[in-house]
Amino acid sequence: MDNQSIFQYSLETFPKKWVHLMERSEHGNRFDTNTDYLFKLLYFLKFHTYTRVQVLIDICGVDYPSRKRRFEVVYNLLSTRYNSRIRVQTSADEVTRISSVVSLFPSAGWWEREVWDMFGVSFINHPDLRRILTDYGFEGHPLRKDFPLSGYVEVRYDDPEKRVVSEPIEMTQEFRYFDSASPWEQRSDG
Amino acid sequence: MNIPATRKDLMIVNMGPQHPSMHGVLRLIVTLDGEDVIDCEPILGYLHRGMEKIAENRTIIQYLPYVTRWDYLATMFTEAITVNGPELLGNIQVPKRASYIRAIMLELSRIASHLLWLGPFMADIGAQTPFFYIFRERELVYDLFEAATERVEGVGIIGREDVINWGLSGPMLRASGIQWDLRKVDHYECYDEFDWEVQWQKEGDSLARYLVRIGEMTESIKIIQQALEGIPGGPYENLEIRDVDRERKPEWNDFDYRFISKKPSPTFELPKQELYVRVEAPKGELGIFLIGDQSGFPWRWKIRPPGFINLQILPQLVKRMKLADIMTILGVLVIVWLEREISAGIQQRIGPEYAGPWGVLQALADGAKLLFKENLFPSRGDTRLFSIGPSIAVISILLSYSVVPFGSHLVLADLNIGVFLWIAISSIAPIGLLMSGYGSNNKYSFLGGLRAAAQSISYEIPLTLCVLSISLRAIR
Repeated sequence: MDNQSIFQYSLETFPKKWVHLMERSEHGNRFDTNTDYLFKLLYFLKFHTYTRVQVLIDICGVDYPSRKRRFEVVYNLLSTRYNSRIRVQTSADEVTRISSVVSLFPSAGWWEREVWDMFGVSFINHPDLRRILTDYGFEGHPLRKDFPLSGYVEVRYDDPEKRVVSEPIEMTQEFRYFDSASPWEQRSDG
Repeated sequence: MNIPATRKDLMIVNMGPQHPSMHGVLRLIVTLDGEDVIDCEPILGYLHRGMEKIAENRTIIQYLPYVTRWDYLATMFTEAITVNGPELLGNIQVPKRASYIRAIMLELSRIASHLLWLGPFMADIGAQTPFFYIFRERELVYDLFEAATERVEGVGIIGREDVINWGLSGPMLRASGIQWDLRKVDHYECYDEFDWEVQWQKEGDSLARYLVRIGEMTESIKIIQQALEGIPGGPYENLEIRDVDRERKPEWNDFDYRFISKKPSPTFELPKQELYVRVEAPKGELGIFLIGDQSGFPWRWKIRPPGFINLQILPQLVKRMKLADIMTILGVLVIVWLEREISAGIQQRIGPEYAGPWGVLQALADGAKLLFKENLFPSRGDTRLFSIGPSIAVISILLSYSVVPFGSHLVLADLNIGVFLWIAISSIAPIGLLMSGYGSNNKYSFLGGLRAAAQSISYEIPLTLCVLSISLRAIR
């Protein structure tokens, strides 16, 4: 059993409506599913004898602002028994809630917290959905494409007030966007 | 006389984000019932630097200097995976010679990472002195500790089921009976051409994780030796790819470009595909999920760090354990954080095989060596102090083992005042530190000795006060 066979087998076995797109390539196979069927699909993949995808390696959020459902949540899975990997993807927008897979894969706990913190996609039935990487009292979801690279606030210790304060950022140098083109091309312009 | 009522409330203790024995900026909120740990909640983010968002705004070559700062004990792995992703996406073949060179560098990095975990790990479970000696005396320490304590055996057991469910990888996975090593399973680089074994153990406790790492270091040495013998000739870079996708403009033949311009770094377009690439880093599976966007910058660069997931299991492990064991468990979870001190140099050593059968008398030999071997003395320092100083430091600390109970009937000298005897004997150690620092006639060593003595005293004084107050309270 390798990558292709568990992919093929699962395609033939579970109900067609669970998956609305599938792609296979040399870089890995993936299923695109609806948020309604996500839990069922992962349950199937985890427990079925010929797929046995027991390890959740990673949950990744991606932001495509041009799409209507702008966020895509990618679940990277691994089957140690059959040495194959598979990706399951689902789309959501700012208000859709995805059902949490913590009951299937305990490792999802922190991954889902990270997706919430970085993108703002919330999960139903998560035991503890709160920020994990950003500062206490941070506002915003940093990995969204409309959030700037340098952020909005900076912190410093304020001696009169004896605490750390947040203030809008002050950049002494403008952010320089190094384009992939050769620097000499810019020189020939001016 | 009133018998004081015992309080049964749970106590909440905050450890960190800065703490003398914690590695870096990890904050733990521990709920205690006496000495037993009921719950432990890690709070992360103190070292969050926005690496993933930065990656969306840099080309791969521009991003390379950032990646060595993820896990700075195993820097080769972070760089390897940063280039592996685009290589696979662009279907770029790497010459065999480069693959061998990569395998050698990666395995050297693995040894470095494991060794530099070992020093602080020993410091965490109570032996401050061995941290300084670790690179020379690691065999002695291992024997001493395994015989004297069961601090690693049976501690922090993670079963097979839990390891899979929690997504652990690396030595954590292999110590619980699962023979899964990405170098064998994924057949990447040239690891198939070497003869080596996957190191694994069954028990899943801290000792098993320790043994797996030590074994991995030995296997890495084997791989490096085979690679050095078998490294092929030929080019080490794929020369055709240097010129990728760049239109030749006519002005590039002008004087300005030919004689002044520098060699530009290769930037190439990442095709619009997704890819998950992974490597067996010392801590586990380090992966990058890369989404290209037909431009120089990636659309999404998701870093899957092994330490992040290995840490998630900490609350499960520490329930019902003793507070001090958290250090043991945390040490083997191996999280790299900023405050960790990195000592330079890796000393090579085969291990005790000459002092007594199977090296059993090595401990005695080392003690004797401490007293007699040092034949380099400072010409103008106080040589007697210089030579006796280290011995006093070590002997006093080792003597204190005599009163420490390692089990209900496992104590050498069962004294009622045992704890005070221990404090008294171990407080002689700073004198030894000061003696050796002073006797060296070197102001830097002197300062070092002062610092070390100050550190020891700064631990002992509050410790003594705490112990004293509790003992006074306990006297009726």
